[in-house]
Amino acid sequence: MTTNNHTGKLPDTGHIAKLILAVLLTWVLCKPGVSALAAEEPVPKRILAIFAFKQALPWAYRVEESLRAALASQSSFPIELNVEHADLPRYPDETYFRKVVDLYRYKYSGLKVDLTLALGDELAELLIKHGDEFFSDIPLILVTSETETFPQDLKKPNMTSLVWGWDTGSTIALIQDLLPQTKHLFIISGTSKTDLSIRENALKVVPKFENKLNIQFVTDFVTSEMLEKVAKLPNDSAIFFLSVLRDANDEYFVSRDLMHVVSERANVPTFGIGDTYLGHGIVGGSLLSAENQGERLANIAVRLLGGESAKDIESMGTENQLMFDWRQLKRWSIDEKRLPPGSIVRYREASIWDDHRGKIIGVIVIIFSQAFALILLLIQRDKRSRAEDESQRLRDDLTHVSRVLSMGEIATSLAHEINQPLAAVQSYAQAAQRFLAGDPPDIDEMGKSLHGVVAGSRRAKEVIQRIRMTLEKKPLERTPLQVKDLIHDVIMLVQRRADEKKVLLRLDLADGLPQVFGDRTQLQQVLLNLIINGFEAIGDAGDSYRKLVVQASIEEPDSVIISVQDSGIGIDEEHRDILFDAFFTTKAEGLGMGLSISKSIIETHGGRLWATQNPDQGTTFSFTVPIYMEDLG
Amino acid sequence: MTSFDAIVFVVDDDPLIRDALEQLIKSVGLKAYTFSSAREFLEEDLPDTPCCLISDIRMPGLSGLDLQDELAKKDLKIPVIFITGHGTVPTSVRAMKAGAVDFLPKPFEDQELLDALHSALEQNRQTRKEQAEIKEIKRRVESLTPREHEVLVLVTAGMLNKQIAYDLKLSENTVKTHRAHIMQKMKAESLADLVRLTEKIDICRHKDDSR
Repeated sequence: MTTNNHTGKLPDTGHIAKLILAVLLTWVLCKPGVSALAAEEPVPKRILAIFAFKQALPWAYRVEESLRAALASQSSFPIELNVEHADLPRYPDETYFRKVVDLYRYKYSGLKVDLTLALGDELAELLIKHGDEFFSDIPLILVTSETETFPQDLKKPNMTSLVWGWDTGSTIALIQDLLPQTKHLFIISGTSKTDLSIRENALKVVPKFENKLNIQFVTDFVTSEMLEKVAKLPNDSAIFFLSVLRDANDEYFVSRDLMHVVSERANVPTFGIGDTYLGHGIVGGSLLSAENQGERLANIAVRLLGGESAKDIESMGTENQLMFDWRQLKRWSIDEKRLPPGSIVRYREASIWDDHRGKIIGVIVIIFSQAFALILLLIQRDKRSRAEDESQRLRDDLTHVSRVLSMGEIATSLAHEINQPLAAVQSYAQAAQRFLAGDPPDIDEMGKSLHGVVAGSRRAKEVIQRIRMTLEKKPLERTPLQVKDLIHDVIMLVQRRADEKKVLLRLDLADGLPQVFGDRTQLQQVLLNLIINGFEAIGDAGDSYRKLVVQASIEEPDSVIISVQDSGIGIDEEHRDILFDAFFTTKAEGLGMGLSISKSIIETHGGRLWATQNPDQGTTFSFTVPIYMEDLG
Repeated sequence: MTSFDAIVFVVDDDPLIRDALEQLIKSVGLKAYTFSSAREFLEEDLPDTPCCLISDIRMPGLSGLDLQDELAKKDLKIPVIFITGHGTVPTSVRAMKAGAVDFLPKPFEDQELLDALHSALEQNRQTRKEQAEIKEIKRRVESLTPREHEVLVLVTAGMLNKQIAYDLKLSENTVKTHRAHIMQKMKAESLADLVRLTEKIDICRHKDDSR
């Protein structure tokens, strides 16, 4: 049954339908009183089909199947098909045959057999010798591989002889066409009667090719040796596997299975004779179809049973089909375009597409949509990781800023560090004054004291340098910057602090703000400083009105103004003038550097930083940054 | 004012400050001994001359205030002037309560420090004078006989001769003789003078000790 799927005719469905129809018909006909026909109760015509082979032989099995189905569909009367498998290639001796014949005779003695079918060359030979004993008056159809198996002169009037339509010649020609480089052809065949008969068929056509091909028949072999041999054939060889039911060692085989092993072991392509081989290792060939042979046999049988005379019936004829195994074509690198027109190629792996187009499209769509989703996720992840990098960068930048801001916290120790040398210098200087004022002036001690003055000043200078190094990060790196991004980045950093301090943080950014030209880090440092200052100013104000607004707008044609407006305590009139001086601070822990540094940053950028008193409450610090112009950049 | 026998001790972990202070102290004719830590100073035996201490407050190891505590524990009455770069009110209050002469934030005017120095040395001189006087009185008390000591205690308690004679089961004349010896040994010119002298020391404790 396995090979049925490969015929492309959907035989299963057809056969089942026919069988059902036949069964229904039989049932209808058998039912008494249903119709006039039913009353006649026709006795089924009985066919006895004897296969020479053993039961599970793929060829025989497929022929039997096809025969059974075709008989049911082709006849207008019921037919009873009895099948026997004589297994003669295995037991070729006459004693065995006699016993088998005795068995059949006994078995079918009470039954009227209307037609006997004998399939296989082994049977033909024996029937010629002993046929009379059994089949004296029953019409007989003999099916063999070669006409010679059944000499016409021995034929009796009720006998019809038919031959399987093996077409070895076409296959050899095909091998030449497809594999023109082939120099050697090894034709494998067994030693049973059927094997030899098929070999005979090949022998007849071989001379046509011998001028171009070195053809060797491999017949008298021990299988294990043969299998070793096929693996080491010359590169320019091919194998033509006919039939091996028995080897020289009297081992019995299922041809198809041995062929399968041969084709797997072989280092060159293998071709075959029947479609039962296809899919089991042969490249292909001009193949005889088992179904087709079964159908033809059924057709002849029905005609004989219908009353036609046996001698009017022609042979089964040849209906071979050029068939190929796509996988083997690939294995041996045979271009499909070289196949003769009308060739059938089976086992095409691409045919998965044809069989499962919907599923494949579905799967592809799913895969693509998953991939798409995956890509989206990856992009999202990438964005996020970039955002994380960005925020890390900001944080790094801020480490610097907070280094400046946290100066407030370390101001005490810094003051100490500056104070120490300062105090020393003062004491030294005053000691010097006193030594000078002495009578007489103590010049030695004065010198020592002045030495101390120098040492103290030097140390103070070092401290100042250290602070400067802490405050200064790097030279100005000006790039075009989006004002909104600049502000948003800082807001992101202070939002939490605003929440903690319960300050309403609001943005008031004008539309269409141009890019400014500046050092991102430094400008953010300024903005951050102003916002933190704002928070601190608000920190001391009442709870009712706690708001900080960051604004950005185009003030002048060439600069953007960014301002930070707080609702804090404001600035005392007296402090207004020294607001931006270094070390001026009203904060307990402040160093007084923030605004001073901010101002110098803004001025380095070519902008201004100033403070104004809000009309109602708090202070607004504003600064300008030049707009980015292409020609400047 | 200039008195070369007075010594100023300086404790500061900053060598520059130590040296600067030494120069300043020298410029006003005082001797300066410098120490880099409180611990180092505590190991020094104080000389028998007027002296004072200038100490930084914040130092590694013992702080200035710790040093002040240690000195108090040892009953070393040396006046302390604190100098500090970052003095806070609580710190200065604590220092002053513990008897610091002054608390100067750095940088300071030389005059401020010198004024503080002089008042510290003056204070030390005064202390030393009182200590010397007490020492002398104690020496005189120690020269008394046990009986004379007994009589001294009762005399300074304001008892009459006959009361003392009764208490000590002596004759009134004997008491008078003891009393004359006491006045002589104590170098007291009158009863009031004797009482003033004995008030400065704990004569009862001293009597117990002498037993």
